[in-house]
Amino acid sequence: MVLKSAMAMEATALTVEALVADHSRMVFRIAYSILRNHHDAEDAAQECFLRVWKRKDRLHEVSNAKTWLARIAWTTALDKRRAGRKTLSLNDAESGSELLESLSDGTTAADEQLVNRQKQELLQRLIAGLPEDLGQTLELSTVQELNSAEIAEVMKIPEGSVRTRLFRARRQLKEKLAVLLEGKKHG
Amino acid sequence: MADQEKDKQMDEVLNSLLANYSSAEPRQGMEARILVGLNESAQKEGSHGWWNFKWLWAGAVAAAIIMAAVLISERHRVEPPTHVIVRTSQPAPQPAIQRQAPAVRNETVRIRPRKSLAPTRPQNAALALNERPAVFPTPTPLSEQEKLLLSYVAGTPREEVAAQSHPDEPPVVGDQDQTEAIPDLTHIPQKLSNTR
Repeated sequence: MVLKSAMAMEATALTVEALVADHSRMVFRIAYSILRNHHDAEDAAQECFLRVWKRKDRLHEVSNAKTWLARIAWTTALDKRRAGRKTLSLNDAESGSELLESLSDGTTAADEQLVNRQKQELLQRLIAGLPEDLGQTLELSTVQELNSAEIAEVMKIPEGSVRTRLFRARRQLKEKLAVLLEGKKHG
Repeated sequence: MADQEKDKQMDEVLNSLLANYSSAEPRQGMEARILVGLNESAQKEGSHGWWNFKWLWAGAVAAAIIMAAVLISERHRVEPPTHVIVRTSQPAPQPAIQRQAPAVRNETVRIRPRKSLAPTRPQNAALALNERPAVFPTPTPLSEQEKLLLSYVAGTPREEVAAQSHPDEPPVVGDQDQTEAIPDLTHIPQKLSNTR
């Protein structure tokens, strides 16, 4: 009996190890798409696999490990963001214009890495200004490892809804970008 | 036409922004760190379970000790005191007539020694309960006359003692003795009543 349970524990441990080996990068990127910070994303990945380990007894019930793990990573990162949320919005139009200006001057900037960081910061602010459902769908769509069907499974919504949300999110982002660019031209 | 151009331009800008939005790479060794963290949590959980088991045993042992202590204290409370034998003070001698059939009482009173510190009121009550003698009223030592009688009875054959013993004669009730039999009420000292 003891030997049997020990063998089962070993098999479970191997399964969790396999999940870590196969999907840790995807988990990290999902967390990063939401938290926008390497350290926080790694913490979230760690917590995600800890949640998996706590459910190790039910691993055999999982049909699609990738989307199951992606959903755990997504909810873990959302929980972490809610816990220490820093509100980002485009209400501060001045800072948005400054970012856009630095973005356009990126060709002359010596530090390209800094320009990329500023781009990401601008997009982060734009996405934060979207409605929550649109923003979350768009964030997941930026993860290379997930297609729209998998995003639908992660978010527990139909795939058509994912496409609709992505279309609406992109349209709103373009409108905001246009406003920022117009403001820069007239300013 | 201009709107389409503008929309296309915006699409390109947006695609360029979104392209690298989540393309971050984890730091080297993240997998190993995750596995180490999982092992640590597994060990913590295991030790936590063992500690729970240990605390269960500790609780059971503590409960057994408390039960034993309670039982032992109860047993000590029931047992009669066996510390010091103290003879009570000798009472005033009584007339021999009133002790025609004295009971041989050779019992002693056993009480606990007094504590050096003056006990408080509740302690006094507990002490009184502990010092209560087994026989009530408190037995007294034999008087001189009782001792003489006892030695006489012990040294004399039973037949002689039986022959010598006789019941008291009933008082003769007559006209003259009636007045003597009935005590004079006027001689009985009466206490003054304070009630008005």
